[in-house]
Amino acid sequence: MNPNDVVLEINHISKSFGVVQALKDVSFSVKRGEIHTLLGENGAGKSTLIKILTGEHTPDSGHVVINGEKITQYHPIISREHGISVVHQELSIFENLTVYENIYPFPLDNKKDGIIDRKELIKRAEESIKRFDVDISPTAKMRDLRLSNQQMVEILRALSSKAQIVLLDEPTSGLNTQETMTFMRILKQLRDEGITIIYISHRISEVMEISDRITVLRDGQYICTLENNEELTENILISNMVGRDFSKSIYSKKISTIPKDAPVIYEARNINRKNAVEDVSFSVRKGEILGIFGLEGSGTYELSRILFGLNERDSGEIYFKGEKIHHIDPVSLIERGMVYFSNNRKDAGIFFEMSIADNIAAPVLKKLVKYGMLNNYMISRHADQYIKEFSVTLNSIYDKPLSLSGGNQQKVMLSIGLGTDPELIIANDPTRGIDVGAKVEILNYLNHLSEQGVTIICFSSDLPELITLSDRILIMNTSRLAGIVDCDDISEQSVMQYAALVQS
Amino acid sequence: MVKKAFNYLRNQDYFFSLLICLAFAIALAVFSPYFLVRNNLDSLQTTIAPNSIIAIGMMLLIILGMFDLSVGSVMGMSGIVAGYVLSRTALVQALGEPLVVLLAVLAGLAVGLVVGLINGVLVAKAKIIPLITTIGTMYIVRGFAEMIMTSETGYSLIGFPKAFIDFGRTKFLGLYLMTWVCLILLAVFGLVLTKTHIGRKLYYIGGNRSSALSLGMNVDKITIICFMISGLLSSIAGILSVSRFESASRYLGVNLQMDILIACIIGGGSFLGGKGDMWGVFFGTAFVALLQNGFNLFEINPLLKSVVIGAVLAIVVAVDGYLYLQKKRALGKV
Repeated sequence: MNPNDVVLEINHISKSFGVVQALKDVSFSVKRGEIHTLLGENGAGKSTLIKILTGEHTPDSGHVVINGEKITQYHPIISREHGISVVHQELSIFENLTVYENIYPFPLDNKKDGIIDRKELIKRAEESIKRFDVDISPTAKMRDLRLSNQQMVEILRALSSKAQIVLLDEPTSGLNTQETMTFMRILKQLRDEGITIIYISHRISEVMEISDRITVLRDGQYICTLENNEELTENILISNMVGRDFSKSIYSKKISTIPKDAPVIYEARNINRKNAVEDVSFSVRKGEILGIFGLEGSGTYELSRILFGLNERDSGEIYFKGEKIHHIDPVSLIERGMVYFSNNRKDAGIFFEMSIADNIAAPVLKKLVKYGMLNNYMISRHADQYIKEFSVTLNSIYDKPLSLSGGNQQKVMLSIGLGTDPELIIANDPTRGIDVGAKVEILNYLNHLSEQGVTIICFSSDLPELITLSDRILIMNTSRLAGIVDCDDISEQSVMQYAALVQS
Repeated sequence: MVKKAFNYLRNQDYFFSLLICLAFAIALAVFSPYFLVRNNLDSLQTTIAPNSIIAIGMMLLIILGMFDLSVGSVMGMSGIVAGYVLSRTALVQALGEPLVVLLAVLAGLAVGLVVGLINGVLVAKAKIIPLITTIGTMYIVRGFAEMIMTSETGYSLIGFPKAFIDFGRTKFLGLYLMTWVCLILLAVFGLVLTKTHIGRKLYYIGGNRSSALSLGMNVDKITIICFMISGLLSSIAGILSVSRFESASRYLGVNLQMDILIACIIGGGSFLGGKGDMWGVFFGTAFVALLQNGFNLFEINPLLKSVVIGAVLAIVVAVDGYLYLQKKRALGKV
């Protein structure tokens, strides 16, 4: 077999979701028996590409060629028939079942449904576990396994179906250094057996160790494919990942006006949560916008939820205006003047079955009462005020939020939060999935709020947005605080250095 | 050896139901002289057998992460339809007993299959949640049963062919034939769930539906099949009960669905899906039956019965949830 055989071709693939274009005319090819890494920031389009390859998404235009055969219909079963198997970023395991049942969810040897040969399944599971030298019992219940072992089992499942092409979407995010090393060894072993591996990660040192070739994506576009040889350096990769031209975009670098002696209003001390956040401490001054950035799996999402009491923490303290907060839960935090903007409109933040007016009035119902009863006039006046302030485009405030566009829904969500006149806002990806116009308006509004003395802690996976917004940026990397960059030193390069390189 | 067996049992989902079932049976045997009397044991069989048969189907759905509230109505309707055919004396004279019995049984089973198919299609294809779907069919089917009964005098259909009644009376090794049917069904479905691929699929789908879908499992088809099995088993229970009682009452199966659901949850099922087995079906229904039996034996106010059943259910679910949470905490997942 010619080792330079092309096993997979991506031909001019584009894909968009609503207003967000996830992939724009992406083309490249993958050789048989190589480890090919896809590298890019969050939202660069890696996961969308993976889902097209697994048949979960159909491209809007362009097509995939596997072994010279053009794919015309995209479906998980068709992809599997073409020898593609996948380990997704989110665990896709069956906790209620045993390890061997998780490795072999299908009858062996493509037999039709029938009696299960339990002994044979266990034997094969044991062999495949042993082949990779990991310590897992095939008959253990999946739910009793550590996270890293659960991930390992899922990887074993992907390999069990005799796949030719294995897609790994950040498979090491739950593994520690030791386990990652074992895993790297396994990948090399597989490559030497002729299996093609498409690997997604943003741990740059890991990528440089494992890859044969690296394809960089940025904002849904193909940037380049690099050979992993002596000339490749971490800096080359980072500058390809970032390297946007700021002068031509909606973003601009912020000039901080916060005086150095502004009082500290909020302080988090030694926040810990097993497997997610390790000993993170920081403080925020009044009127400041602190950006918090981290690549996926770095712990920023968990940190944002811990700060607002939505997730439990193992240890750590929070001080607000110099006073220790004993019960970190949303109710007491809101009472003290904080508010949280979720990054998921569907999950939290908007009441989809109620009118826009009722939504905006939700946090301040107490104030909209006359003669002991809710007053519709006051509710609509309260809502109108925010509709004007945010220039929400709508037909009637009595419509339901679903009739609005994503950007306008987001504005309604901000209105809900701002109803309580918060002093501190914890925002988690406040502009996720909305169009550029609405994005600019929301960024401007957040800036406007901070000028009025409102303090904002903004978590975002969108680096240009944070650069536009933040007085300082705190960067997390593998659960830890990797660094804090002051306004003058903020650049894509400086932030990405902290976010993508492994700290020793 | 004993320790090993205990450790094995302790890790089974049905362990709790086994424990309280045994404890309750022993307590009743010790404290009541009437418990181990043949009459009482016979009456226990006539509760446990049909309830377990229905609970088999319910448990399959619970493993899938669903449930079926129409089982009581289907049981009643099947019994009444079968009883209606059997009590037509003109028909018996024209066709002869064996043919009429066959016809009655087939008509009864058809009720369950049709209702099960409707439930399954509404849930799997029309994407209506099981709660709404099966509350709907529960009322519709009960309504039809009432319509049949309004044309009859009295509350029950009686006067069935001898062969049919004999089936209900016959015992083998001290157990009614309906109990044997129940045990055989438990064994068959127990084997299907543990030893066949289609049985295991229920646990995959119930445990993580989206993953099962992305692995290409045919979730819709399996959902429809399970609802049809649930309907069919409810029909079997209805016909067996009519044969045992020698009459088809308009109250057959009224409000039964809650007893069955509770039995399945006590037996180790979970509304979240992915959990449950046939041992749990048996011990769960047996426990609910023993509890009711205890109230009769000690002549306690029957109104207290639902209080106690509800309390036991709450305790079982709470303890189970607590242990699960603790385990997750220990693994650092919450």
